[in-house]
Amino acid sequence: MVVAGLKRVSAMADGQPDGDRLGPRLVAVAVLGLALFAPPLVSLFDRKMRVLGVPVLWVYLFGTWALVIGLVAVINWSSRRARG
Amino acid sequence: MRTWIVVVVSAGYLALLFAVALYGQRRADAGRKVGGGTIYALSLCVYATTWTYYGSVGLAARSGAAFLPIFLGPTLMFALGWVVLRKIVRICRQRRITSLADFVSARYGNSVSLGALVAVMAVVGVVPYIALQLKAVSSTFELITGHLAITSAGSAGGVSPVRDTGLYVALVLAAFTILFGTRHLDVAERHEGMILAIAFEAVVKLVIFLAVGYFVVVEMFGGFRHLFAQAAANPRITPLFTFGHGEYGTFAWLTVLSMLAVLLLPRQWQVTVVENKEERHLRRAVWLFPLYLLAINVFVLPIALGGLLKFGGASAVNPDTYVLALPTAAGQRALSLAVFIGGLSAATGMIIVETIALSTMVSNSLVMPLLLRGRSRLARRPDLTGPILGIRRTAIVVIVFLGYAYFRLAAQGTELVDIGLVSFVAVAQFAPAVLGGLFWKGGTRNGTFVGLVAGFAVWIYTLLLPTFAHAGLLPLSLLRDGPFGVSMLRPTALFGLSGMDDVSRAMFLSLFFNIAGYVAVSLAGRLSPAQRSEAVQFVDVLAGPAGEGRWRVRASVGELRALAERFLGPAAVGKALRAYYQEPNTDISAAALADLELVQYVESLLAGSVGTACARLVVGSVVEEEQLGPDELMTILDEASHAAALEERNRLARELHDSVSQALFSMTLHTRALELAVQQQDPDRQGPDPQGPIGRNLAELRNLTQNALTEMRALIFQLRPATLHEEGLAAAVRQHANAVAAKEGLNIDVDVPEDPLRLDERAEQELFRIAQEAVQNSVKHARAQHLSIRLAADPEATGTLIIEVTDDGIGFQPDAPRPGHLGLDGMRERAERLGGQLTVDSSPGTATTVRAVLPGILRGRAVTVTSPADPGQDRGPAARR
Repeated sequence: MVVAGLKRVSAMADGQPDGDRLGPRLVAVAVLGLALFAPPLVSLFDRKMRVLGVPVLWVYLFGTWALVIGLVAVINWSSRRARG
Repeated sequence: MRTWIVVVVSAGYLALLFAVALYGQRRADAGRKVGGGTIYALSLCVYATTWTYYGSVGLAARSGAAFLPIFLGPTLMFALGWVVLRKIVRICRQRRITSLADFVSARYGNSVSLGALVAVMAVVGVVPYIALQLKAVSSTFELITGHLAITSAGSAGGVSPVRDTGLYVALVLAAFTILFGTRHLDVAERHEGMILAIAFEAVVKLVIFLAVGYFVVVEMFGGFRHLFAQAAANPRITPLFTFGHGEYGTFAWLTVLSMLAVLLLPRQWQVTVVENKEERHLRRAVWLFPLYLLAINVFVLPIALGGLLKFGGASAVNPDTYVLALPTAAGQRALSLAVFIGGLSAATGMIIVETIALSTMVSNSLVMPLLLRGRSRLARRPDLTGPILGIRRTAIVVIVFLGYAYFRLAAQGTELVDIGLVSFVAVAQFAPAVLGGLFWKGGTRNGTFVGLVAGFAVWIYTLLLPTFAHAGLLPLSLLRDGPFGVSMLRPTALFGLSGMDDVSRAMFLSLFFNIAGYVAVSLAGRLSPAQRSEAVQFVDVLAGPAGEGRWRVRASVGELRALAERFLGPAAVGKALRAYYQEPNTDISAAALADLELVQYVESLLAGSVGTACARLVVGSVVEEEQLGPDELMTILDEASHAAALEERNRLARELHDSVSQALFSMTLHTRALELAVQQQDPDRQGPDPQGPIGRNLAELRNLTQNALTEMRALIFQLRPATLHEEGLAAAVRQHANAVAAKEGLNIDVDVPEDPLRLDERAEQELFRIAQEAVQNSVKHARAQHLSIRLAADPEATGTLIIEVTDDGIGFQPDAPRPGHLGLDGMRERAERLGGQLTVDSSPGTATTVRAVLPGILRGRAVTVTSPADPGQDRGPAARR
């Protein structure tokens, strides 16, 4: 038989449709990140102040960075859990 | 530290890496799982090279936060990863695309020249980046072995190559890469062992970097608070805490630049796309990889501050070596050695993956097409794996030594980061072609070509040339005064753009011309149907199901062909398959195992005739539910779709014939009657009055109606050329001849082959019309009594079909203009549309022969049936082109 040799190897990615909310949510985080790292917002923290000894600019940059990564991770986990 | 200790420990570490790779490869070969999402995410950290390891600290010590965009960009790009990267990963998986060059080439009509261009650009563009690694390793090696005073790292310029550490580093790493990546060939170009080693290497460099960071901050300076307090008290250091003048722009540009680079660097493409085993691994990578980058950067500023505090002004110790110099200065020999190993690790990982990716690109997109195109003996070898491996190994050595040459000639006095950014801008040139190709269907091959060339040229001029000029290879006046003294053309201030730093300006200008070329030429040109179909398949790839290429195929080419033929007919399938293999006369072995692409191609073929959903059903349902009786399902689908299409056409033809045709016919009769009635009502006039307004309009109306009727009959015939469609050209011609002979009382000899000719449907229709028209001319104009129709393959030219209609009529002057007689011109046009020629052999008073010669129209097995000439036996693949 012609097609008897064809074998389905894997279902759709993670068994979920591609039109899920994960993509748009992560894109939104990326856009947020781009805005947070854009000069206008960065310049707000470009001061000589220090927080716990650390320059405020560096606190802002690393804090925002961690925030973006955290958001991406949380969105990932929540969508995984939502699928059960 | 003694040289031999460093050498032995380094060799030991490389051996360990190799052992990890070997272990991974053995496991993979045994069919066991090698790493999941975490290993995948860690392998992406090959992004962190000695640039990160040494160079970031150097840049932080010079200009503060300016080093961060290089790591923020990837974070943002990976947030987009689920959309952008997954798209690329899926396309590459489905089409077995194994390099960036392959991708660009496949996206724009499988253009060989585009692939070669991308390969060349990638190699040239990445050479400085490789030089960076060699520079970092050789200068830290000299530092740690004490051959170099701690105060003047990185000035090997005067050393002869034989005594230059960089040369040996290059040699060792090239050999190591060959061992690693080109031991055997893998169809998917996956290197599971290598990936495991890279992931291991990523952990090593992170742990060591964190250790040295901890040591500097806690052991040397008593914690963050003390370190920052000391730094804040130093007026030469405090500027690092804020942005300087004009640095915002650079910060933003570099963020965007590194977003592109993390995707388009050949090694990142390799680990992210080619080595991706499952799409879901991306889910972990989108946060774990950025997290790794965050972690490895936490101590960058503290180490930079520590170095500045410890060593004082920038002139004393090269900040690019602070990471090593600090523990060395503190007498921590073991930690220093570990730091060196970490740096070696970062450089090794980068060079291995980068050169493997580039060598794949060079061999697949540059060398092999050239070899297979030419008539080299190589092309005829049954097994090409040996030569391919040879090409790749050569490519690896050449690329590493290009890096070494750049390091010796142009990278001596430059900071690590500045060298690397040159490469970043180079690979960013691929962004319009790749990202544009993913989201815009309008990009054309020519547009891509023009864009890439323009961007690359600007890159060479504004970034690469200045590094040569600074190194003394080109006169410095080129930078100062511009070529021929034209200051508008100064490479570092091209067109007077001078308000930005070199990298941002070069990035802006090169991408400006790149995108402008890509978009403008694309919009000005036309998309060929093939390119349009590629565009749709690339842009809309996420709309389809994912997975490991969807099907694992165990069907043979013959079986697949039979499947398609059931839906599309032998002629169309034969043609499509030849188009797929891109060789007009290939005899595709029916027993060969069909590859994944062929299955998908056949599926797309089926989609064209039975619709996407149905095509997938034909393959999908059957495959998923084998036990449900695929045979029956196939038969049902088969007959249903075929019969439905035929039935629909027949119904339409019947209804048109019964309703519209009849109505038109009645109209002509009524019009004629009306014409007569008008003439009778006007007894004063004698006979019809064609000049009168009513009479003229009626005549016109009758004409129109008759024309409409003729057209309608032709349309109906097109909808239902019953014999033609079902039994083929030969049968249709025979049937038509019989009908004409009976109707006109003529004698018609028909000489057509018994076997059905393999022609596509359009050709059949056109050829039938030619025969029909020729017969009609003979009957109507030549008043012939005897006709002969011959339809045969040309015994001398493979694939050529000849149609000949000869009559014994009155003949005519073929060259004489015959206004109103479009029949002959129509036949000629039809023949030319099929790539053939129509000749008429006649003169007044003699017999007439109309002959159409159509080369290359016959295909497939029927050729050998009707013609003794053997199609292309004993011809190598090279000769077929």
